[in-house]
Amino acid sequence: LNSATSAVDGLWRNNPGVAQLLGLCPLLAVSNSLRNALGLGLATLIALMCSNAMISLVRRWVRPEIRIAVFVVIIAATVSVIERLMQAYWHDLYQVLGLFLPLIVTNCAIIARAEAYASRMPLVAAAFDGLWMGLGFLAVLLLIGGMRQALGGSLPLLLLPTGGFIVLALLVALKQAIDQRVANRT
Amino acid sequence: MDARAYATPLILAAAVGGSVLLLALVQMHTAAPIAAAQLNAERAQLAALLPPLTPADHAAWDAPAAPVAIETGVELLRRFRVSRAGDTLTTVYEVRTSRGYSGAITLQISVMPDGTLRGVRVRSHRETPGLGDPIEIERSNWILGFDRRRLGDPPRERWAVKPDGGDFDALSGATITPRAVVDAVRATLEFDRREAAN
Repeated sequence: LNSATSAVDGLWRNNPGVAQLLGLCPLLAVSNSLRNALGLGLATLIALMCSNAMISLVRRWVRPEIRIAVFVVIIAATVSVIERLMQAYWHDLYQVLGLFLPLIVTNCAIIARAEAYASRMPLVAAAFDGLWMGLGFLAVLLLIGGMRQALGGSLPLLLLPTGGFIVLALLVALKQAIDQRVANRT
Repeated sequence: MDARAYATPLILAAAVGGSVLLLALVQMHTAAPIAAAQLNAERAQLAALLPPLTPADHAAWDAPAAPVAIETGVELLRRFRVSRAGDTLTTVYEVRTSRGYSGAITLQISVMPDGTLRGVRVRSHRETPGLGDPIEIERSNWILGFDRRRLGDPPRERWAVKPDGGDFDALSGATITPRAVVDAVRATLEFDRREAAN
């Protein structure tokens, strides 16, 4: 896999949010405003890049029977470090994201990338995969956050968790429709 | 046992040990900045409820040993007194009400010596995002509706949200949340007057 297909993969074809449907819990919970979406998206992006890189570095020593445990420890440590740093140097954003930062650990998009990609690939490729997957996740968060914030004033339903599901469903449908169109044309 | 059986737990232990070491390092370097940032954030929020201070002013928290119930479901947690040359300028009461829609709402209520509200801010709450959270100053100006109010303005029977026949706006889709806040502010003002009379 070269860098270009890795980008297409993360942003469109295998987008964590609208194609793999991974990490929906934080996606729906925090996407009620643009600011929250940006904060959580960036934190997830950094966590994904760091954990992918570290898992790629240790991949030769990790035996298959304990790989999941090791991945989880690495991801949890990465997220804890990001949380502490944000709490120390970016306190405003930390106060907004609060509970959702530790929840990044449970974002299955991260463990999925660790298992499916980073544990088999060299360092640079794994880090780039984290970057593109993270950007794909961030883009979906921003789209949903932006739509909910813009339309939530006139339609308060969108600001509730229900609204998150509805907007996400519309985005997934839109992606499928576009994919189908492209497939029919060729 | 073959070497492989030993290696597996050792690898796992190494991963855990490495992570613990990393976290300990980060903890060492961030403990002080985090404490400073928390203090700053707390001060910034409080500053909005205080008059401009001079270095000679005396300002300090005092907290009862246990929360004091000032009305059913409303507890005083602690208060912040600012005084200048012996005269109280402002008292900020930190109260917690359990009458919210989902869990406790903690408020900081700033009262001038004559019983007039300087302002109210929400310190923490767990109300429904999008419905109950306009009580936060970051989301709407609703909480500013308390500025300059006191007991008697409005009169006791209209210290309530509009759906209950009072003077304070309700929030669309959420009545319980603003009702809890209005009641807690009114209870605190009454408590403040009782204290002042003593």
